[in-house]
Amino acid sequence: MYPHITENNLINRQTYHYIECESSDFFDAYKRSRTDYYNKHKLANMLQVVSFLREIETRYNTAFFPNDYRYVTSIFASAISECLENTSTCLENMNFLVKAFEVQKRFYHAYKEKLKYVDPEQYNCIEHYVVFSLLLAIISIKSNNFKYLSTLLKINDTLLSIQSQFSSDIFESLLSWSITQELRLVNQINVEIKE
Amino acid sequence: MRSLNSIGMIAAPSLRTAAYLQILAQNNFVVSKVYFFVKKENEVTLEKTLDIEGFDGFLPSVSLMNTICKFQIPYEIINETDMNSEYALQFIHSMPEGFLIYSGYAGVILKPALFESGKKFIHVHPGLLPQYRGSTTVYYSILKENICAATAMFMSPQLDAGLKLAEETFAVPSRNVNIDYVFEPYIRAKVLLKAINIYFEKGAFQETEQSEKGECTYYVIHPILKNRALQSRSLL
Repeated sequence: MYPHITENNLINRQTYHYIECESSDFFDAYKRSRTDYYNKHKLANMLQVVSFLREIETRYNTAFFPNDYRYVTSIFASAISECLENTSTCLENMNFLVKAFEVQKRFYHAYKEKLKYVDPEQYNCIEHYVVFSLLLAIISIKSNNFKYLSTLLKINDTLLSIQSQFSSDIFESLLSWSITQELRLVNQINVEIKE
Repeated sequence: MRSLNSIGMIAAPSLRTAAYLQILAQNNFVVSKVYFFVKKENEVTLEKTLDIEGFDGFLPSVSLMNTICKFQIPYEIINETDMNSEYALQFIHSMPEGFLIYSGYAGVILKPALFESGKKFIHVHPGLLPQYRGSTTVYYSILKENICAATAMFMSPQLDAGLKLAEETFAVPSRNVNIDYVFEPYIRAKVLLKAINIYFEKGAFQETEQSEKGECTYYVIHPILKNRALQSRSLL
């Protein structure tokens, strides 16, 4: 039994604290939660992933921001740029998003200062969570940093928990791509363990 | 026994506190006083033991009260669990010790007001700094470098960013040693002992600034990565 995909992780927020997780049954159940999904859905390719992210970046960059709040769309636009540019070493916006998600397990549409959100009800934009998953997969592959892989596993738990709310087929194929990358990175650790 | 007159301990009734007191006492050090922040009705937790195997002198099967009595360590119960409360702040301010080993409740972030009390709080973080700031770093360190480590430092308002006092790396233990309940408290205690030894020999702590490069802040590790880290250990 893999316990971290609930009916809706945005509501039943997972803390991931002090979990008994040493058994191979636990690991097998995790793998099933992923393979069951990507076996049922079309898989996006890297070109489609980048194209989707560039389209989001353009759309979010041209959004109108009526006041001085820190809008999450604006942060995502900058984070996309950070993650897709090969020369970028600064991940300031990406790290803000990681912190926001790790602390609150949600993205609110705007923040006043630090992580103080403007409207407690506005955290349901599924597109934000899909974009975040893709960015984490890309940055995990590029950096080989387990910090990002850990958050990738959490966001994909969340997306799997709300998959029935996906409004577009493209979200399904993008999530399939992200899950495939996630599982490959986790299996890579297995190989290192066996060595 | 060597009495550390200027060093007290702020403690929750936990395995980390047990490891600190046991390892210090086994090396003939006794702090000035242990201040247990625990509700009166929960004082019984000081008698609690855990029936699991110990490691290199740290025995979770020995209760805090047993260690306190055996080594005659002065202690006081503070009927409060919130270190950030006004009462705790006033109380800590009134403590005679200038240095306080912090072994409080896990996950609590101390408010800046505590750092204005004039006390120096000694915390031992389970990872090298600044490379492994944040949470569950012992597991990230196993995955990345196949080592465990701990760093003693003076706490600062910024998370895990204070002046370093001592650090040490350790080999990853075999699968029969529980990391959360035994090994992590043990390595923290060993590094605390190292910092105290320096203080006792030189009459002062040896403070080192953290490097400005290589900083990384981690968050609670996903259980799948924890599973992989645990599985990576040898069966011996």
